[in-house]
Amino acid sequence: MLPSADFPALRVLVADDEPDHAESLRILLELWGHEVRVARDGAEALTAAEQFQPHLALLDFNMPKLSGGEVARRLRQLPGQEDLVLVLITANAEDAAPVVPYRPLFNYFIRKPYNLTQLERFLARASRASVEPGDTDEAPGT
Amino acid sequence: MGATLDLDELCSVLRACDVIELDDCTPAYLGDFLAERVAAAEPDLSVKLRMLDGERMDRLCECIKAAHAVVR
Repeated sequence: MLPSADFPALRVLVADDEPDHAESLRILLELWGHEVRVARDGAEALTAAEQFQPHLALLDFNMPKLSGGEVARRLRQLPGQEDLVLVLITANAEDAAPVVPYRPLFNYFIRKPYNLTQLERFLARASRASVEPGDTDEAPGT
Repeated sequence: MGATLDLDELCSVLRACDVIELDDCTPAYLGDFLAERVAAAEPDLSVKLRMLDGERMDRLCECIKAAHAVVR
C-alpha cells in the first residue's frame, strides 16, 4: 500500500545488528514508500532517532551496545517523542523474561520472519493512527 | 516467457528471503524486493529477477513458500 493522503509516508528507523534482516526491512519499507534510516546497534539507534526524528522505530531486542529495550527506555525519556511508535522485534515470544520489563514501552511487537501481508497492513495502520504506549493491539507476526 | 533462473540463482533467492514470510498471493512488489536484495552481490541475478514474467514470479513465490515450509 503506497503512501497517500490517508496513509502518509512515515520516517521509519530500523535498528537491527543482523545486516540481512535490516536490509530486508529497509527495502520493503522503501518499496512501500516510506523513508528509512538503519542503525546497526543500540547506540547508533539512539543517535539516529535524535537526528532522524522517526515516526516509527522498529527495534530488534538483541543488539550490541544497547538492547532494543534500553533504546526504548531512553527514547521514551526524550522530550518530543510522545508520538513515536515503538515496535519491538524479537525472534522469541514477547513474554520471554528479558523482554518483560520493557513491554510497557512498546506499542507493538513483531516476530521474525516478517509476514509481508501483515507487516504492510501494520505500516498502513501506523501511518494513519497514533497508539498509546503499552497498547498491545494485534501485531503482525504473532 | 521471460528470464529463467539456474539452481545457484534459485538458492541465492531463497537465502535472500530468509527473514520474510509469504502468504497465498504473490506480492506485486516481490520481484522488486528480490532484485534489490541480491543487487549488491549478484547484479546479473537482480536483472533477471526484474525480467521474470508474472507466471514465473508466481512459481518462484510458490517455491519460496515450499522451501520455508521445510526449513522453518
